[in-house]
Amino acid sequence: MAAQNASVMAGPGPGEESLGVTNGKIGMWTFLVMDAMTFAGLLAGYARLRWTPGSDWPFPIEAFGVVGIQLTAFNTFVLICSSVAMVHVLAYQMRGNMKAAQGWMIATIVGGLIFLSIQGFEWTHLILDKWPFLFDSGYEAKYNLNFAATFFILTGFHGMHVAIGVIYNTIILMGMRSGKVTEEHTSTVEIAGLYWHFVDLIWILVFTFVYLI
Amino acid sequence: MRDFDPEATTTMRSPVKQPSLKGAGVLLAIVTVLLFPAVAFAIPGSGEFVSVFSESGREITHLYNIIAKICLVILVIVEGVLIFAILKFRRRDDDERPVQNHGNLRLEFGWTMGALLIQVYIGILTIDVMYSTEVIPDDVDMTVEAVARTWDWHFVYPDQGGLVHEDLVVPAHKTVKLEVTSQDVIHAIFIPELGVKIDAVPGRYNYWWFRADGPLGQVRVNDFATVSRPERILPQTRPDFLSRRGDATARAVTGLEQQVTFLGASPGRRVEPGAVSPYAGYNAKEYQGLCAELCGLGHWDMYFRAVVMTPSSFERWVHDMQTAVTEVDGEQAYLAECATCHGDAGQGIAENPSLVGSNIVNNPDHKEEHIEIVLMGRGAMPGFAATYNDAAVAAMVNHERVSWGNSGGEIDEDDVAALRESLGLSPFPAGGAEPVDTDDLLFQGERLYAACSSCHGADGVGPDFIPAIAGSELVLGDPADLAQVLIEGRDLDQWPGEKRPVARSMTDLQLASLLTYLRLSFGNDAGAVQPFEVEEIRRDLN
Amino acid sequence: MEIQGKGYLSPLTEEAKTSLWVYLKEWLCSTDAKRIGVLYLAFATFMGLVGGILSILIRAQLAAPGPSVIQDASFYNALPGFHATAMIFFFIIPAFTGAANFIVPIQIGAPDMAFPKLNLAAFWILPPSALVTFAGFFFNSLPEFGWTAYPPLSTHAYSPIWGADFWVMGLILVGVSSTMAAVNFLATVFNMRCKGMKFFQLPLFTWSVVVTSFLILAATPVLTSALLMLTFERLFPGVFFFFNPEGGGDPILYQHLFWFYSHPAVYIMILPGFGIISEVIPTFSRKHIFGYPLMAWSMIAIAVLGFLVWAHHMYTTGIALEVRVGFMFLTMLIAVPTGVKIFSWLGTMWGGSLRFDTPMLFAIGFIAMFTIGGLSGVVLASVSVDIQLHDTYYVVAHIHYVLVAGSMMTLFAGIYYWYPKITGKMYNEFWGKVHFWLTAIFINVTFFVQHWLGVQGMPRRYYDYDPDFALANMISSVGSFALFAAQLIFVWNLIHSWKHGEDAKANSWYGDGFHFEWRMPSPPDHHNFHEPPEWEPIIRHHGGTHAELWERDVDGYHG
Repeated sequence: MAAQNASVMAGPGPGEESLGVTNGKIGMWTFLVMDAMTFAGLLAGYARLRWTPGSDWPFPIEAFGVVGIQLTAFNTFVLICSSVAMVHVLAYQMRGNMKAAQGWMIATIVGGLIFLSIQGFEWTHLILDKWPFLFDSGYEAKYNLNFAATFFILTGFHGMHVAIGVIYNTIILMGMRSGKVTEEHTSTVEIAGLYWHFVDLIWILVFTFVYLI
Repeated sequence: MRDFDPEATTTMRSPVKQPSLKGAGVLLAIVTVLLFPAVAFAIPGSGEFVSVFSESGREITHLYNIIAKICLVILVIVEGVLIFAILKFRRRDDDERPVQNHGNLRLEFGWTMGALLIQVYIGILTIDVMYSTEVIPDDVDMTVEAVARTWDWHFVYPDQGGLVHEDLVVPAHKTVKLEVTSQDVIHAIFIPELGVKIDAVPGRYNYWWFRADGPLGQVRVNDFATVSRPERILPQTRPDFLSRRGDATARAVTGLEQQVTFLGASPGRRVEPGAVSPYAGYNAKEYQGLCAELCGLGHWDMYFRAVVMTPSSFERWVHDMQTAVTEVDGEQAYLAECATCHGDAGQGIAENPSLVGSNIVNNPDHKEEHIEIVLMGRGAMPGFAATYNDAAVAAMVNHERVSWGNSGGEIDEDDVAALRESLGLSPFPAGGAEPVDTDDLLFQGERLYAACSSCHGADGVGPDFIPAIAGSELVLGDPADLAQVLIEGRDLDQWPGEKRPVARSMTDLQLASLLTYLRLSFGNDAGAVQPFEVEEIRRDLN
Repeated sequence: MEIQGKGYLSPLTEEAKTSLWVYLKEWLCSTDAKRIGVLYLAFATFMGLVGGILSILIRAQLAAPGPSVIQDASFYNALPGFHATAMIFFFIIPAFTGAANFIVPIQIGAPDMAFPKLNLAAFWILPPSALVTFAGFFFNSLPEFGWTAYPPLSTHAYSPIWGADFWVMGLILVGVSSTMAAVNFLATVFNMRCKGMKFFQLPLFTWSVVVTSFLILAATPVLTSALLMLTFERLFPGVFFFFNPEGGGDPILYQHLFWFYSHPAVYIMILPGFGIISEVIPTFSRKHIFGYPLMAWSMIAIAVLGFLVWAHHMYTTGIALEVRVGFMFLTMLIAVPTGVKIFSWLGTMWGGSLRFDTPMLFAIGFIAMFTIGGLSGVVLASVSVDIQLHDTYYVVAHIHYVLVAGSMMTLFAGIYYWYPKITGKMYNEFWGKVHFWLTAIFINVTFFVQHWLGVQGMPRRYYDYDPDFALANMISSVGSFALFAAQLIFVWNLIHSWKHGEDAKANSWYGDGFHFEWRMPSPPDHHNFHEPPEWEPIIRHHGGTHAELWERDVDGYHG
């Protein structure tokens, strides 16, 4: 049965690709619409909690400290670089230079890993040093719980996307190494690129909302 | 795919000519099915709202009747066309080939626009009713704060000196403003007959208002009918509507032990069948009040009475409440407030902890913690600091400490009062008899004085031709004289006829605050005035 | 034992021909959209019966005032929430997904869905998520906050039970499953249409699935985000206070997010039904659908407006008056495209040649009774009236006229309509008609009196009620028992006819079915088409009379 399916699915079947793009690309775009709505829900919650009278929201620079924001700004830069690297992967693959493509893919993955480790460091620092009230109910100082809560849920959900993206890219890298992903499979890389750029874009939104405004 | 087979039509299933008798049967059955709802819509009264006992309720009922009639007309048209089509166009011959039409622009545009116009018409009607039933009028006669908690209500009467009561008691034909909030989860206050419904959301106030019909009078239902509502009330024997729910309690005995407390009327208000209403002595009409928003276990059992009294009865009731000596019964209070979760015998229900043999209850060292839990609540448990005075809290705590084999030692009111103070709670405002804190009066009074300061000056000394407040004999003298001037106004030589009865529409609490502020500010030192004193002054004035 | 079957039902390997177990495995692991569709339908039927039993329990308790069948108020409080969860997330939505899985690829001339493996995965998320959602039943820890789960009631402090956590996570999983299916349908319809199948040639059922998929795609994730926040608030009490005012949260925020999903969810549950009716009525009227473009556009309009009206579920929460006026007008606007659809169906029947087989009976019953649900919706759209009817039985009557007389009747119409195609057998027409009449009558008996209860002020989700309402409640309960019993006839008819029914023709409905599914044998073969199909576009003369006769007997096969 699987063999029969494969024979149908391998080439463009009858009537396939009415829009001139692969199914995978449409699938990824529609998935991204859905994912964007998930973030929209979380950001809407953030906005409602923050811009409500009497929310007493701290100014981000005061809450994170100047160093904290600069570190994250650097992190943003890393993620954008990683996104640029992903563009190069596709460019080299289309030219048939799989070796360079692999190199850029490694750069993309490393960028994602650096982002994750800096974020991990930031979380540890915030939880252990900056916001002790999270685990100490007797903590007396004035603080805003929603600030921390929305921070964790927004950056955490985004961090999960980055982690998934790193795994996704690693799988493609392994495919390239074993020769399963060749210069013909540009759409595979293009779809992974769509996801990766989307994650980047979302981060710019999250960064702007949570850290800058 | 296109190997069209002309004989295909003959391979159809059993080309039976449908007898017209069968068609008629189908029609009859469809008509029966459809007529049932249509008739039910149309029978006068069957679609009628229950909220006809207040002015805004009648407006809403009227609006509903208009919309329902429009809908009925549309329903009849749609069902009529449907039945006609079923009758006329049923297949009489299997070879029938109807003429095709793919649409009719004029018709389609027509019904789109028609539907739109009807909707806009209904919308505009609704906006009118919304503004007249929801915007709080300027001349509010009385404010009541409705506070919900799992699973009971209490009503605070700030105008009656902060009286707290378990039922909503209001004078008839007066504009009453409700300030609705909740102590824990979301509830909704719902008095169907008065057209009152608004969510009680923790952390915020929602507002509603109504002018309820009293025990007398005719009720205009809509343009077509005037229904006279006969006086059902025989003052001494009026049955308590909550008592009709007694059956539930009786039958529940067969059920599992632990559920018994949830059945019947609210646990604290178990009412014997045939009982007489506690408001039987007043000239009053009672409406059913309940909770409309799912709030957990006891959601279905949050009944309260909305009692509408004649103004004189209402005054008597307020007076009775403020002077009533409340004998505190610890067991009664426990059954009313605690048994829902902790069980009749303190055994604890479901997730809620048992009080039998509990450390906090039995260990004399934990007395304070015990009182604190009762006052402030813990976890899902609400606090009772705002509902019960010190004696009642003490009685409740003592009931828990000495019943069901517990032996934790008793406490007294002073312990509760001391703990209240250490927790930073203000003393309990038990009706008008309890004095309002002078600082609170001053605080409110200062805000009220802002309206006076343009003439009398921010420091109590205005221009020469306006009497100063600082050191004024009138202000320092008998508060009743000052109150009379404020309530009735006074002619001055400069402006004869320019009476300024500034305090006429103030509540007792407000006037008391203003008096207190005048008498204690600008170097004056004449002592505070309490709301109940103002009430007496007003009574004397009338 | 020799396993036989025609078309896609036939075993694929020699092994499966002799071993029932292998054959079953073949089904459960199949990536064929038709088989997955049947799996969806079977699962939905099972969950529908579960939901039905829950509703029977509710009605049994409410038949008379006072505790009777259910002595435990706490258990009762959990039932309405679980009834709604079972019916919405595990019955109606999967049932339509199943029908769409079977029909949509065929209607657009495609061999299968765009992502067959994703399709299988989406289905297999469902049964485990049902287990997770209903986990509370197995260890007696039932959440009592209804299907709306408003915080603070659903937070840790007021629902400190494991069952609630499982319920929330189960719903997140269902959301994942339905978004996967939606992605799949969109990719399929966008990209796998056969030659000649332009967007405005798509059969209306396929149109409805496209619009529904968009709704799922844009709305479900918002529910997911709300439930995520709720989960964090539940699992880390004292740290996360999104919805609890004690820590600065906003309980109304949850309601906004929840209804931003749950209002479109209503259209997710009814639009495929509209699509089915638009297939059934032309077939049994021998007429093309009246006003095809307006039918498609009105579905799009309903979907777009559906996103702009969520606050009409929250009129009593204290939203500003001006805001509510806006939401009221948007809500009323929805009645316009819905009305257009009803009139267009009537227009299709007008001048046709009607035959009343079971699918057509259900379609007519749907129009007749859904109109009542639509009109009570107009009543509820009016803010002042809605505030008085909010959370009363009037709302219960309204949603059941929309969902039972709407979604469920259309589903029955669809299943009877395509039953010959799916199984290759005809169902028993007599019992089908009995099923229709019992269903149509007892829907009215069950739900119509609830309008009256509502205007008289009986609130929903009450374990016990004022004895004044006893008679109406008894009528409603009796009706619901009979309604449930009638559905057993339906299930029996399906199973029995699959074994003993007479063989179905290719174009089973007197040669009048004219979309692709009726131009292939019943049941269809694996991979639907043997050669790439081509759709000969229908040219629609919009307006004026063209003396063109019904001649769509494209019955190339005789099964």
